[in-house]
Amino acid sequence: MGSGVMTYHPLAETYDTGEAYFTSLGLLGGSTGMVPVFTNNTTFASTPDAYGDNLTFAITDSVLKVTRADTDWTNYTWNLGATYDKVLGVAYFHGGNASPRGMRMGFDQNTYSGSQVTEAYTTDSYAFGCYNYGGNEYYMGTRYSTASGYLLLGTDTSIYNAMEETDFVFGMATYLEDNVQKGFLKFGSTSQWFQVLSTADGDLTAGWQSFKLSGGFQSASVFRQITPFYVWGAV
Amino acid sequence: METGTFQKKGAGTQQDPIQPDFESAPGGPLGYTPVMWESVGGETATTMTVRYQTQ
Repeated sequence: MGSGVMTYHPLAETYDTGEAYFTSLGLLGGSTGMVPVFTNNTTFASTPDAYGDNLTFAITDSVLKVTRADTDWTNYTWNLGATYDKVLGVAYFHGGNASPRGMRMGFDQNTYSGSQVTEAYTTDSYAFGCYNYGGNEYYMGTRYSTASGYLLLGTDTSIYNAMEETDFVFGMATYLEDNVQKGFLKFGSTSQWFQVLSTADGDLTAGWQSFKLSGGFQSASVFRQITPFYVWGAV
Repeated sequence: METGTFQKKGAGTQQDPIQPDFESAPGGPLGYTPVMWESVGGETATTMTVRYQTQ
Protein backbone atom coordinates (compact mmCIF):
# COMPACT_ATOMS: atom_id res chain seq x y z
CA MET A 1 0.00 0.00 0.00
CA GLY A 2 2.67 2.43 -0.95
CA SER A 3 0.34 4.68 -2.83
CA GLY A 4 -2.53 6.75 -1.53
CA VAL A 5 -4.45 5.90 -4.65
CA MET A 6 -4.44 2.24 -3.70
CA THR A 7 -5.61 2.68 -0.15
CA TYR A 8 -9.28 3.01 -0.92
CA HIS A 9 -9.73 -0.40 -2.47
CA PRO A 10 -9.54 -2.49 0.72
CA LEU A 11 -11.95 -0.22 2.55
CA ALA A 12 -14.40 -0.45 -0.28
CA GLU A 13 -14.41 -4.20 0.19
CA THR A 14 -14.97 -4.30 3.93
CA TYR A 15 -18.51 -2.95 3.72
CA ASP A 16 -17.87 -1.38 7.07
CA THR A 17 -21.01 0.58 7.64
CA GLY A 18 -20.44 0.61 11.39
CA GLU A 19 -23.94 -0.75 11.87
CA ALA A 20 -22.95 -3.03 14.75
CA TYR A 21 -21.15 -0.20 16.54
CA PHE A 22 -23.97 2.30 16.14
CA THR A 23 -26.48 -0.34 17.22
CA SER A 24 -24.39 -0.96 20.35
CA LEU A 25 -24.71 2.76 21.17
CA GLY A 26 -28.48 2.60 20.80
CA LEU A 27 -28.53 4.83 17.73
CA LEU A 28 -29.78 2.07 15.41
CA GLY A 29 -32.05 -0.94 15.92
CA GLY A 30 -34.37 -1.64 18.82
CA SER A 31 -37.01 1.00 19.25
CA THR A 32 -35.08 3.74 17.45
CA GLY A 33 -37.26 3.49 14.37
CA MET A 34 -34.19 4.03 12.21
CA VAL A 35 -34.46 2.50 8.73
CA PRO A 36 -31.99 2.51 5.82
CA VAL A 37 -32.36 5.50 3.50
CA PHE A 38 -29.19 5.11 1.40
CA THR A 39 -27.38 1.78 1.11
CA ASN A 40 -24.49 2.36 -1.27
CA ASN A 41 -22.45 -0.70 -0.43
CA THR A 42 -20.12 -1.72 -3.24
CA THR A 43 -21.17 0.89 -5.77
CA PHE A 44 -22.60 4.40 -5.79
CA ALA A 45 -26.21 4.39 -6.95
CA SER A 46 -26.12 7.90 -8.38
CA THR A 47 -24.25 11.15 -8.55
CA PRO A 48 -25.47 13.88 -6.15
CA ASP A 49 -28.81 15.62 -6.64
CA ALA A 50 -27.22 19.05 -6.17
CA TYR A 51 -23.75 20.53 -6.13
CA GLY A 52 -21.73 23.74 -5.89
CA ASP A 53 -20.46 25.45 -8.99
CA ASN A 54 -17.58 24.19 -11.12
CA LEU A 55 -17.97 20.60 -9.95
CA THR A 56 -17.90 17.39 -11.94
CA PHE A 57 -18.47 13.83 -10.75
CA ALA A 58 -17.43 10.43 -12.01
CA ILE A 59 -18.55 7.12 -10.53
CA THR A 60 -16.37 4.05 -10.95
CA ASP A 61 -17.96 1.29 -8.89
CA SER A 62 -17.07 2.09 -5.26
CA VAL A 63 -15.51 5.48 -5.97
CA LEU A 64 -17.14 8.85 -6.50
CA LYS A 65 -14.45 11.10 -7.94
CA VAL A 66 -15.14 14.78 -7.27
CA THR A 67 -13.35 17.45 -9.30
CA ARG A 68 -13.54 21.15 -8.63
CA ALA A 69 -12.14 23.54 -11.22
CA ASP A 70 -11.47 26.39 -8.81
CA THR A 71 -10.74 27.16 -5.18
CA ASP A 72 -12.83 26.78 -2.05
CA TRP A 73 -15.46 24.42 -0.74
CA THR A 74 -16.83 21.57 -2.80
CA ASN A 75 -20.34 20.88 -1.58
CA TYR A 76 -22.75 18.28 -2.86
CA THR A 77 -25.99 16.78 -1.60
CA TRP A 78 -28.36 13.91 -1.99
CA ASN A 79 -31.99 14.51 -1.04
CA LEU A 80 -33.34 11.99 1.46
CA GLY A 81 -36.80 11.78 -0.12
CA ALA A 82 -38.56 12.56 3.17
CA THR A 83 -38.17 14.70 6.29
CA TYR A 84 -36.52 12.85 9.15
CA ASP A 85 -36.46 13.58 12.88
CA LYS A 86 -33.37 11.41 13.41
CA VAL A 87 -30.58 10.69 10.94
CA LEU A 88 -27.26 8.88 10.87
CA GLY A 89 -24.85 9.12 7.93
CA VAL A 90 -21.66 7.17 7.26
CA ALA A 91 -19.18 8.12 4.54
CA TYR A 92 -15.53 7.55 3.66
CA PHE A 93 -13.21 10.12 2.11
CA HIS A 94 -9.89 10.06 0.34
CA GLY A 95 -8.04 13.37 0.53
CA GLY A 96 -7.42 15.81 -2.28
CA ASN A 97 -4.53 16.80 -4.48
CA ALA A 98 -4.45 20.41 -3.25
CA SER A 99 -3.77 21.91 0.17
CA PRO A 100 -6.85 21.09 2.23
CA ARG A 101 -9.02 23.41 4.29
CA GLY A 102 -11.21 20.61 5.51
CA MET A 103 -13.58 17.76 4.81
CA ARG A 104 -16.97 17.48 6.44
CA MET A 105 -20.36 15.84 6.25
CA GLY A 106 -23.77 16.66 7.61
CA PHE A 107 -27.47 17.14 7.04
CA ASP A 108 -29.54 20.06 5.78
CA GLN A 109 -33.13 21.00 6.44
CA ASN A 110 -33.74 21.78 2.77
CA THR A 111 -33.79 19.87 -0.49
CA TYR A 112 -31.72 20.95 -3.46
CA SER A 113 -31.52 20.23 -7.16
CA GLY A 114 -28.86 20.99 -9.74
CA SER A 115 -26.23 23.71 -9.53
CA GLN A 116 -26.24 25.73 -6.32
CA VAL A 117 -24.15 28.87 -6.10
CA THR A 118 -25.49 30.62 -3.01
CA GLU A 119 -23.49 31.13 0.15
CA ALA A 120 -26.31 29.49 2.10
CA TYR A 121 -25.78 26.25 0.20
CA THR A 122 -22.19 26.22 1.41
CA THR A 123 -22.93 26.87 5.04
CA ASP A 124 -26.50 25.83 5.76
CA SER A 125 -25.89 22.46 7.36
CA TYR A 126 -25.35 20.64 10.60
CA ALA A 127 -21.86 19.46 9.85
CA PHE A 128 -19.10 17.41 11.37
CA GLY A 129 -15.61 17.34 9.93
CA CYS A 130 -11.99 18.29 9.89
CA TYR A 131 -10.76 21.87 9.48
CA ASN A 132 -7.42 23.63 9.37
CA TYR A 133 -8.36 27.27 9.08
CA GLY A 134 -5.75 29.64 10.49
CA GLY A 135 -3.30 26.85 11.12
CA ASN A 136 -5.63 25.22 13.63
CA GLU A 137 -6.35 21.58 13.06
CA TYR A 138 -9.40 20.02 14.61
CA TYR A 139 -12.62 18.17 14.23
CA MET A 140 -15.80 19.92 15.18
CA GLY A 141 -19.54 19.97 15.05
CA THR A 142 -20.98 23.06 13.43
CA ARG A 143 -24.21 24.43 12.22
CA TYR A 144 -25.41 27.49 10.40
CA SER A 145 -28.05 29.79 11.74
CA THR A 146 -29.40 32.64 9.70
CA ALA A 147 -29.70 34.70 12.86
CA SER A 148 -26.29 34.04 14.33
CA GLY A 149 -24.09 32.87 11.48
CA TYR A 150 -21.64 29.99 11.56
CA LEU A 151 -21.43 28.50 15.02
CA LEU A 152 -19.06 25.94 16.48
CA LEU A 153 -20.71 23.38 18.72
CA GLY A 154 -17.47 21.69 19.68
CA THR A 155 -13.86 21.15 18.74
CA ASP A 156 -11.13 18.67 19.48
CA THR A 157 -7.63 19.80 18.56
CA SER A 158 -6.05 16.53 19.70
CA ILE A 159 -7.14 14.64 16.60
CA TYR A 160 -6.67 15.43 12.96
CA ASN A 161 -5.70 13.91 9.66
CA ALA A 162 -3.98 15.77 6.88
CA MET A 163 -6.48 14.98 4.09
CA GLU A 164 -3.78 14.96 1.43
CA GLU A 165 -3.92 12.67 -1.58
CA THR A 166 -1.18 10.52 -0.07
CA ASP A 167 -3.03 10.08 3.23
CA PHE A 168 -5.29 7.21 4.18
CA VAL A 169 -8.97 6.89 3.55
CA PHE A 170 -10.93 7.80 6.65
CA GLY A 171 -14.50 7.30 7.71
CA MET A 172 -16.77 9.93 9.19
CA ALA A 173 -20.23 9.55 10.65
CA THR A 174 -22.65 11.98 12.19
CA TYR A 175 -25.88 11.42 14.07
CA LEU A 176 -28.56 14.05 14.60
CA GLU A 177 -31.74 14.24 16.56
CA ASP A 178 -33.54 17.12 18.24
CA ASN A 179 -30.95 18.99 20.35
CA VAL A 180 -28.25 16.35 19.78
CA GLN A 181 -25.36 15.99 17.33
CA LYS A 182 -22.64 13.35 17.53
CA GLY A 183 -19.54 12.90 15.39
CA PHE A 184 -17.54 9.71 14.83
CA LEU A 185 -14.35 8.73 13.02
CA LYS A 186 -12.73 5.59 11.71
CA PHE A 187 -9.10 5.55 10.63
CA GLY A 188 -8.09 2.58 8.50
CA SER A 189 -9.76 -0.64 7.53
CA THR A 190 -9.06 -2.44 10.80
CA SER A 191 -9.74 0.37 13.27
CA GLN A 192 -12.91 0.73 15.26
CA TRP A 193 -15.34 3.59 15.01
CA PHE A 194 -14.98 6.02 17.90
CA GLN A 195 -16.87 9.06 19.07
CA VAL A 196 -15.11 12.41 18.83
CA LEU A 197 -17.78 14.92 19.83
CA SER A 198 -21.25 14.79 21.31
CA THR A 199 -23.09 18.08 21.59
CA ALA A 200 -26.46 19.02 23.02
CA ASP A 201 -27.77 22.27 21.71
CA GLY A 202 -31.24 23.73 21.77
CA ASP A 203 -30.78 25.13 18.31
CA LEU A 204 -30.41 21.68 16.75
CA THR A 205 -33.95 21.32 15.45
CA ALA A 206 -35.11 18.10 13.82
CA GLY A 207 -36.34 17.99 10.24
CA TRP A 208 -33.51 16.87 7.99
CA GLN A 209 -34.12 16.48 4.26
CA SER A 210 -30.73 16.12 2.57
CA PHE A 211 -27.27 14.76 3.19
CA LYS A 212 -24.33 17.04 2.37
CA LEU A 213 -20.66 16.29 1.88
CA SER A 214 -17.96 18.90 1.52
CA GLY A 215 -14.29 19.17 0.76
CA GLY A 216 -12.41 22.44 0.98
CA PHE A 217 -9.13 23.02 -0.82
CA GLN A 218 -6.97 26.04 -1.49
CA SER A 219 -6.79 25.47 -5.23
CA ALA A 220 -8.47 23.36 -7.89
CA SER A 221 -8.80 19.89 -6.47
CA VAL A 222 -9.76 16.29 -6.92
CA PHE A 223 -10.87 14.13 -4.01
CA ARG A 224 -12.84 10.94 -3.65
CA GLN A 225 -15.70 9.56 -1.65
CA ILE A 226 -15.58 5.80 -1.21
CA THR A 227 -18.33 3.32 -0.39
CA PRO A 228 -19.88 2.27 1.86
CA PHE A 229 -22.09 5.33 1.98
CA TYR A 230 -25.06 4.76 4.24
CA VAL A 231 -27.79 6.91 5.71
CA TRP A 232 -30.41 5.79 8.18
CA GLY A 233 -33.37 7.87 9.26
CA ALA A 234 -36.48 7.89 11.44
CA VAL A 235 -39.50 10.06 10.72
CA MET B 1 -14.05 17.60 32.28
CA GLU B 2 -15.75 20.67 33.64
CA THR B 3 -18.76 22.67 32.52
CA GLY B 4 -18.81 26.43 32.19
CA THR B 5 -20.69 29.28 30.56
CA PHE B 6 -18.77 31.67 28.36
CA GLN B 7 -19.48 34.72 26.27
CA LYS B 8 -19.65 34.14 22.52
CA LYS B 9 -17.09 35.60 20.16
CA GLY B 10 -16.59 35.51 16.39
CA ALA B 11 -18.01 37.10 13.26
CA GLY B 12 -20.12 34.09 12.29
CA THR B 13 -18.16 33.31 9.13
CA GLN B 14 -16.52 29.98 8.36
CA GLN B 15 -13.12 31.57 8.89
CA ASP B 16 -14.19 33.25 12.13
CA PRO B 17 -17.10 31.21 13.50
CA ILE B 18 -19.03 32.04 16.63
CA GLN B 19 -17.58 30.07 19.53
CA PRO B 20 -17.06 30.38 23.28
CA ASP B 21 -14.60 32.99 24.49
CA PHE B 22 -12.63 31.12 27.11
CA GLU B 23 -11.22 34.40 28.34
CA SER B 24 -14.70 35.47 29.48
CA ALA B 25 -15.48 32.93 32.21
CA PRO B 26 -17.44 34.41 35.15
CA GLY B 27 -14.62 33.46 37.48
CA GLY B 28 -12.01 35.00 35.21
CA PRO B 29 -10.16 33.88 32.09
CA LEU B 30 -9.28 30.20 31.84
CA GLY B 31 -5.83 31.18 30.69
CA TYR B 32 -5.86 28.50 28.01
CA THR B 33 -8.00 27.19 25.17
CA PRO B 34 -9.26 23.69 25.97
CA VAL B 35 -8.01 20.92 23.70
CA MET B 36 -11.55 19.60 23.53
CA TRP B 37 -14.92 21.20 24.27
CA GLU B 38 -18.53 20.57 23.26
CA SER B 39 -21.80 22.43 23.73
CA VAL B 40 -24.17 21.06 26.35
CA GLY B 41 -27.11 23.32 25.58
CA GLY B 42 -28.45 26.39 27.30
CA GLU B 43 -27.21 28.67 24.53
CA THR B 44 -28.39 32.26 24.69
CA ALA B 45 -27.90 35.16 22.31
CA THR B 46 -24.66 36.04 24.05
CA THR B 47 -23.44 32.95 25.89
CA MET B 48 -22.71 29.25 25.38
CA THR B 49 -22.47 26.54 28.01
CA VAL B 50 -19.86 23.92 27.21
CA ARG B 51 -18.22 20.86 28.70
CA TYR B 52 -14.46 21.21 28.34
CA GLN B 53 -11.30 19.32 29.02
CA THR B 54 -9.28 21.00 31.72
CA GLN B 55 -5.57 21.60 31.34
